[in-house]
Amino acid sequence: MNLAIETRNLHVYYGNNHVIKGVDLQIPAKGIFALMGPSGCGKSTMLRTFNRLIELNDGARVEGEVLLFGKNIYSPDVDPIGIRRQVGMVFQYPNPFPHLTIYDNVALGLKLNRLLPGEKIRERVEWALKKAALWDEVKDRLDDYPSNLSGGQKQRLVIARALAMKPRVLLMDEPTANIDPVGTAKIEELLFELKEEYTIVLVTHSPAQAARVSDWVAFLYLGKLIEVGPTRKVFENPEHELTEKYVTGALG
Amino acid sequence: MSRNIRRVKERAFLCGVALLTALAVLPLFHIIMTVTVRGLPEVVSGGLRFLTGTLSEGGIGPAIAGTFLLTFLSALLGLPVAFLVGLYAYEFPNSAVGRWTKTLLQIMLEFPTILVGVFVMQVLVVPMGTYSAIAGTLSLAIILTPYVAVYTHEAMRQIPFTYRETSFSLGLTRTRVLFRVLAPMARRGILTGGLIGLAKVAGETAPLLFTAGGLYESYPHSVTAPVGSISLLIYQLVQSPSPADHRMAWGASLVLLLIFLDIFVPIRLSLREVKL
Amino acid sequence: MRKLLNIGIEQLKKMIEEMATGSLEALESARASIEGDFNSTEEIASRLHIIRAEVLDLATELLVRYSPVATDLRFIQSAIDVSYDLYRISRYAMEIERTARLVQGPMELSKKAFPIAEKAVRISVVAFRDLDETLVGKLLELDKQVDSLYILSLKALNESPERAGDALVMRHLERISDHAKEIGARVIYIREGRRL
Repeated sequence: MNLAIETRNLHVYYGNNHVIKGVDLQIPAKGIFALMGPSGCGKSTMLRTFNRLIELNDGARVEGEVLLFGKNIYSPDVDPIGIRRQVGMVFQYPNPFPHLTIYDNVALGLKLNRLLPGEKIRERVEWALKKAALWDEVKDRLDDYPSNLSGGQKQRLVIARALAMKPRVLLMDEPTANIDPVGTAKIEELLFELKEEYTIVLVTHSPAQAARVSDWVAFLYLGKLIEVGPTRKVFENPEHELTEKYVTGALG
Repeated sequence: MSRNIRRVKERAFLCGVALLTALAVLPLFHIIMTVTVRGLPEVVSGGLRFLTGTLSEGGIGPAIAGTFLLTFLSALLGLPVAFLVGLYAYEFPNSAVGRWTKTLLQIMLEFPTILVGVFVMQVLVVPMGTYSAIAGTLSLAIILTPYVAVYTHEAMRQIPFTYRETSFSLGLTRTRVLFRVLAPMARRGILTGGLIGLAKVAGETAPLLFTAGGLYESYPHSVTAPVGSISLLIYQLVQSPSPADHRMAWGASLVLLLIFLDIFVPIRLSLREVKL
Repeated sequence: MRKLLNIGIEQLKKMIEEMATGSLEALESARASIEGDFNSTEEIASRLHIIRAEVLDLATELLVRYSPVATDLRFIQSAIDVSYDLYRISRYAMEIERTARLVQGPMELSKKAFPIAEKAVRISVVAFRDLDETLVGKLLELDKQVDSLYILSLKALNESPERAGDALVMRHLERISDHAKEIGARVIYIREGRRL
């Protein structure tokens, strides 16, 4: 099994707070891998170790290894910038840059990283918006600002922005937490399409979403990995009592 | 019964607040009114000659030119520095330099402006042997910079953390994130800070006392030569015994007030539209 | 949501309990009939048919509304299966009564097998009510016993056609104990998540 991401004895500290406690996780390539757990269990933190975005927090300390396609991204000779260009991220609140047009939002990573020459950028922007199932809705107003888009559309714009960089992995931090149900359904359908080509790591606050959408699911509780397995198995017959409690709603 | 008492109390309270507000705002309106009433006749009767003529011609032209020159030059010097300092304090808040910068900026905001003038006098005027526009510019820049730096810093801090995360997650370098994404996002706030700072220094007097020197008989022609400003001129005219000079001072005051309001009022009005 | 689901599950348990009582009643009545005492087993079977439909309805509603997972899901799936098993048991009981009414002849093996089958159904009902998987071993044993008696009854047909009645009733008894075994398998599925 080809592993997209693997953590080995991962520990994360925020100051004196031990947030992730010795997690060994294996995320297979391609498909949707869900990380679920009650709030505060550390799933968002763990997601941010996968692209070293956790380093934006001054008090954060990471120990252990995180392997991206076999290579430890925390070894001292690795440049976090390079890692982040291979790993796209989508956040909880749809956050397209308000001061840039829809086109410029999608093109930003390409332009500023000088990844493509000018003419090719336009092609890539169209491709990305099509991939994110947003092209038809915005093709006539690429010079508009994203403030006029709905929440679901904004989030798809953000997905297009990430896809434009042609990452190998997409990290998603509760992407539908602040979207209405119709928008959520559209995004979940989009994920279903994308999972054929991309490895998607989806942090979700809702076990029901993990059940609907994911191929694999891991249950995190208070910083520890409690159970991991194929979605069908974990939801039909979880091994661990805590997992059972969580998925049936008996945990807070 | 109690409903009526409540109504009366509410009325009384509102009246009280309105009264106090009026009292607080009164001085401003009084100044504006007085300056307009006393200065308008002078400006109107002087007309174009008042605005463009030299002092012996009965005009304040060189002073106006001086104010604009000094403001422009101090902007040229101070704004870029302030911008960079503000960004540095934002990006490295926990570094020694960052922490010191923030503290120093706060101190400099309140620093007596006349002392700034004295400092620049020692550093530039004395060695050069003459008052100069450069010296005046430096003084004003020293006062301008902390203002704009603090505004820049605050404007940057108001950008939600999620945009920072997103920019980095696209694999952008720190410089690009700061200068190509975040600073442009804060541009409204930064611009506002810049303009407010300029409006402030345009009317400063104390820092110019020992640095600019004053030049009212001819228009400014060199930066190493003395230069005047409207505020400095007013200061000078008020000290003279001649009532003609006093009338001119009122006229100059009106001009200064108009310049100040012309920058300040539009900024304040446009501020309401700042949305991130 | 949890609470509402629980209320639904309690309701399902009650209905299954009712069906369990009913099918044991039906078995009683069927046994009496092979002794010659005829009753209204058919009524019981019809009643259970109705309750079975209600179980299916409620289970479907719970699935639609609450998307249950894990043990909740396994219980509801099993309730659907078990209600069918209990209904079939009552039907076979009814068939036994009909057969006994219309077919003459010795009911030797049936009389032997009956208490075993009855015991199996009783145990399976308790096992499901208490979700006690330790009882399932006994069920498998009892089913084997009934099965061997059934085979005997089939072989007896070669000796004399008079044995037909006995064989027919034995056949129904074999089905009954098979359903009891299935109920046991459901208990294992609920408790351990594996299918037997």
